[in-house]
Amino acid sequence: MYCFILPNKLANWNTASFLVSGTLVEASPIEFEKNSTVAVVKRIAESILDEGGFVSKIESLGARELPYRMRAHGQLHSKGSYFLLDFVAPPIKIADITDNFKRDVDLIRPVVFNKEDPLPITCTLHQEIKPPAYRSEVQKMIQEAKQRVPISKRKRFKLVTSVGYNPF
Amino acid sequence: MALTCGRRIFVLAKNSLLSHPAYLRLPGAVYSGRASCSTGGGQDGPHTPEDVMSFDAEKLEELLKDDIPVDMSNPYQKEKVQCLLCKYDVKLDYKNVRLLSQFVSPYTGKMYGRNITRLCRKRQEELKSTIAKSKKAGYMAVMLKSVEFLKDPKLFDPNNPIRPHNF
Repeated sequence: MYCFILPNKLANWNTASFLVSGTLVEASPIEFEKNSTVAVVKRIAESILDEGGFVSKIESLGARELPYRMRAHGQLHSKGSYFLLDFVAPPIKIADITDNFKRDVDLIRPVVFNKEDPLPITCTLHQEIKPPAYRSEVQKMIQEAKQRVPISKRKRFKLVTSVGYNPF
Repeated sequence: MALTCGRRIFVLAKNSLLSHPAYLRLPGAVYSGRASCSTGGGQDGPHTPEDVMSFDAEKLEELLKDDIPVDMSNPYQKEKVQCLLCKYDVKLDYKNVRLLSQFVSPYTGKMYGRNITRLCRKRQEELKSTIAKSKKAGYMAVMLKSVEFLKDPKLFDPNNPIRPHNF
């Protein structure tokens, strides 16, 4: 049971929470021995704490057959358990933490993601549906094409006569 | 004499054409020294400019009470067409393999293009990156669509694309 008081120095750390996903246990059948998986998860959490991180959530997504066979540490795996670990750690140490995961034999696919809310998106489909001449992107392309015309041609005097030809 | 209404006064010559009775519809108004306003030919006869100019502000407000324009957005504005994910505000998660698989071909396991999914550009990019993330993290199959997701409801008809496709 880990219990510690965070020092004030932590205020300088980047408190971005990272999601560790897919920390799969090695080839154990569906009726796995609970102790071994628990031991692995504990080991992972401890490694994060050793690097100066703080684990906020541990979630299990169950054990099942993998979507495709994965090779890890010289072995081919077709079944595994999925775990999620939400943690906060100093940005410098993230690389070290990931490195440690990769060295762990029991982890098949350790991945660390940055937990960020996606930016709000306003739908632009009504503009993309328009006929090409009315689309802003196409209009930009036309403008660019006009810019590429050499200045001598671009700035050439255009005679405007109602007759359609030069009467002089 | 002050001509407040601004219309010109003409004095008929005795032998002129306009002295014919057909033209003399409003004799009073024409012959008067004052300019005739539009209210000159009314029931009560020509009004004085002062009567026309004066009005009751409170009465006017009461009359216009129901007629004043209401602050509202344009009611005739056409509804903007939105893509499926924007319309229902669906959040794409790399763990939600079932949702991501709906945008994947059951024949090749590849993600459908924008011409088939009919998503806006940003959402399509988001979907692309999420599917790649999911495949890399070991949640989603790469070369195929999982068997358990083959009978999921179709969000679009892959055989009716905006532009022809190979899969």
